[in-house]
Amino acid sequence: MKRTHAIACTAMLLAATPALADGGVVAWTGERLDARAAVIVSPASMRVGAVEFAWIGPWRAGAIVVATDQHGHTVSALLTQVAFDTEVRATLELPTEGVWNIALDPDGAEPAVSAVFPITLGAALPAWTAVWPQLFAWLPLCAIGLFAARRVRRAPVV
Amino acid sequence: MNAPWVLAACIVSCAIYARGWHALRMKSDVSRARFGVWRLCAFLAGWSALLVALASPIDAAAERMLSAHMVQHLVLAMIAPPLMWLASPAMPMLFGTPRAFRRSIVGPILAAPSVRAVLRVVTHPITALVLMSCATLAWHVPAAYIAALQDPTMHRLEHFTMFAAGLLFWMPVIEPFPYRRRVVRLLMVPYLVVADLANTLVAAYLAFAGGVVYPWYESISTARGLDALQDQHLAAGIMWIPGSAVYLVPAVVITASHFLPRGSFGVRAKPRTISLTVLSTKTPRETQSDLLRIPLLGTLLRSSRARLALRLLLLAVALLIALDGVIGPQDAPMNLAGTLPWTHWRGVAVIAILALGNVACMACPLIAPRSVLRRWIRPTRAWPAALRSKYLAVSLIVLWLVLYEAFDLWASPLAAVAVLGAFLLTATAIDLLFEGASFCRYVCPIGQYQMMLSTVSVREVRALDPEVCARCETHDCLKACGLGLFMPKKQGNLDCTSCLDCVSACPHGNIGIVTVVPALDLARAQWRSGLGTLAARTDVGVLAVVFTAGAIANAAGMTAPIVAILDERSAQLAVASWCMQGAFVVVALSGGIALIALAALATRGAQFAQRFTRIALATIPLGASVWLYHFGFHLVTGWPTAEASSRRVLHDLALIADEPDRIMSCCVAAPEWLVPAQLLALSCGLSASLAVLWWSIARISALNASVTLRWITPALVLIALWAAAAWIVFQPMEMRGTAGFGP
Repeated sequence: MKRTHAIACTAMLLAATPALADGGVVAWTGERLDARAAVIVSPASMRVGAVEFAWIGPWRAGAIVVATDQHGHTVSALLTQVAFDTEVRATLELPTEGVWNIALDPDGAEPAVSAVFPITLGAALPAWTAVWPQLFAWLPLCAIGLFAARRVRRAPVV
Repeated sequence: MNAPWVLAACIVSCAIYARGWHALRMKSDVSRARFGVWRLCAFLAGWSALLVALASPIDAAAERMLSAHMVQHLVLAMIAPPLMWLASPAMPMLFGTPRAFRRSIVGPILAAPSVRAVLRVVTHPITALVLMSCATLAWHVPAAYIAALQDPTMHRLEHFTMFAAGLLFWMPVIEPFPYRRRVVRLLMVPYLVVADLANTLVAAYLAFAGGVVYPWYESISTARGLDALQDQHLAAGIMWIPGSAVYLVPAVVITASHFLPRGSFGVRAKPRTISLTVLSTKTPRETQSDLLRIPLLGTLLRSSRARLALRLLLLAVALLIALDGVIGPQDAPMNLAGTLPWTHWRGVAVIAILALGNVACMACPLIAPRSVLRRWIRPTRAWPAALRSKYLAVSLIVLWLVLYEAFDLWASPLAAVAVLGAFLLTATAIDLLFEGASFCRYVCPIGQYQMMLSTVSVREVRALDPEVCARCETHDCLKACGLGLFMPKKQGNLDCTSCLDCVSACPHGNIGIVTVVPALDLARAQWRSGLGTLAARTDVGVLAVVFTAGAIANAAGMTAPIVAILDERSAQLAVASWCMQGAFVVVALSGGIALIALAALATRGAQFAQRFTRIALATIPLGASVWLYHFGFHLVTGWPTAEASSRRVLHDLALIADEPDRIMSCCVAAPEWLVPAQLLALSCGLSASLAVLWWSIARISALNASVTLRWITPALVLIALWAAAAWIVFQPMEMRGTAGFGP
């Protein structure tokens, strides 16, 4: 019985493994600090606003991510450890759409080659006030439909 | 921003016009003569003018140059409307829409005395002249003009009022069929001249003003090195000379036609109003829009061998995908099993089902083995009576949604292969053990989802002429259908896999895939072959709620705030994250069922179970719109994965030298039109749901009872579900686990 439980638990854990890498897409892979590493960017379909950068691999204190747009405007943040020893994350507020060049330095003050890659941001999610005609299109549609329905109920069309 | 919407409206409108124009020309020689090719050309020219005004560089230039803006106004109010009216669009647009739509929506509205009274006033030449003159004068007052330039909503309102006023103004001048003349024809001459005076007044004001009238252009022109005053003079010239010509040329023609001998300008058909008889005329079998009558496509669909070949082809593709899922890399965005079934198939299938009927079940590769093996193995067992309901399928859908959410099935190619294999083996085993299409009817969760979706499709498999069925004595359709559907008694798409075996079996060729009003069948919910009385089937009601609540839960599960809350709760309660995600789905589905039950309790009429089922069925259009915007989002933002994963396979097979870029192969930035399109789909879904709900309640209410009062409470529940679905659209989408990268 114990063996069955063990097999079942192992199967569940194996199945759950992909869920541990929640969010985003692999934006860079390679070797840094003598080990394989990757950068996962989230959300997958990126927009203006908060974009999260997760470094999975060896790292040291002072690890930093710097984003630079086409006009030279930069945004940066220090990476902080999250659930696992080998994972650090930072969230940047990127204000404009288009291509951003990302440089992620995993060992802070130490001289190391940054992981460099570009990302493309779409426009920010619109405010509801900007899309109100589509958002509330159901109101006139519903009014027309109800009017027609009441007419049919009172005097069915032959 | 406007261009995609104007283009979409143009395509839909032209398609409806062309369909109606063709149907009218087929009706009689008189119709053929009345709706000549030139009318179609006029309609297309009218839309081309609108596209030039609203979706071309002129629209962008209008913000920088007054002269460009003036051209835009000229086209909107004076070029596009008369071209549209020359096409006599009323009848073709009516005949271009499905008959049921004409009868249930357009006919009753046009017949309403209040609507007729309003139309009589609005379309009167005096009203039209006042509105046109007001639109011309008011929008050129500097304050209103600048406000329109600065505020996109005001700008849209300006264009709408100009176009609408133009339509009303030109109607009595052109007299499109079946317009009934309201004043003596010769009065159109002063009518046009007065309108030209208003136009001339504005043009003269712009031409002779001492300085720049609209300071907006002055600041922009200075920055761009242009002369704002010259631009203003050019705008005045455009408004004065071509603008006046548009008014005065018809005035001259009308005057000449009045004084010249009758017949010089051709004989006009006697106008008449659109009668309700026309609106409700029964469509003959030949004029029904039947997919099976399309050359080549119809031949292929009618052929049982061609349908089997399609399923076998898709089965071969599925097996190739499965092979890649097993031996390929386990990076979901780079593996065919991680991309094609989840990102592309789901998105394409939902669009195809809504547009063409249940084609996803028709092409299902899972039933290909059954079709082949049953040549040698004839099952004789009947499906157990205890399982002849939708509850087994409902349980499997719930299980599917929980597993999908908890274990991120889409992120693991191996999991996708396991799911595909399990489906294929189960379907084959059940279909070889039990007669008919038991798997499709009672077990397959994907099939039930697709059938639910197809209830809001614009196409349906049905008998073309009931009288032919009434004379039929062989009932071959019933014998051929694995789901036990008898064509003359079949209603809607529910429980129909569109396998088209009935089409092959019918000796009279009396079955087609015809257009219907989406979701209308849900409001009727009456007795039909295979299912019995739909409103009495609580299991179908529960299935409908799971379909809708599952759509919202499934979409909510990928939004950043929900993911964050679930992660936080799982950390607080020390529960594995997959447990929390699975529990979220169960709670959401249970909440959905409880909400509909409460709405049913608050409604009066039939028994509780029937009220529950009717309200549940009304949620289906809303659920379908959520599935559409969810899978549509994945399709639009995730389409490059097909190329990346296919190139990876070709590279592994040494057919191409370059390995595809593994980086960022998952998603592209969402285009600007996506969120408005998602919201529009959602609005359509909610309106259809509310309409179905109203009719459902009307069906269980006494004739003198106030249906709207009874409708309000369950309608509020639907609006609450819509609010939740709309909230999801405004959240960043996480697509958890897409990375396929474990720590």
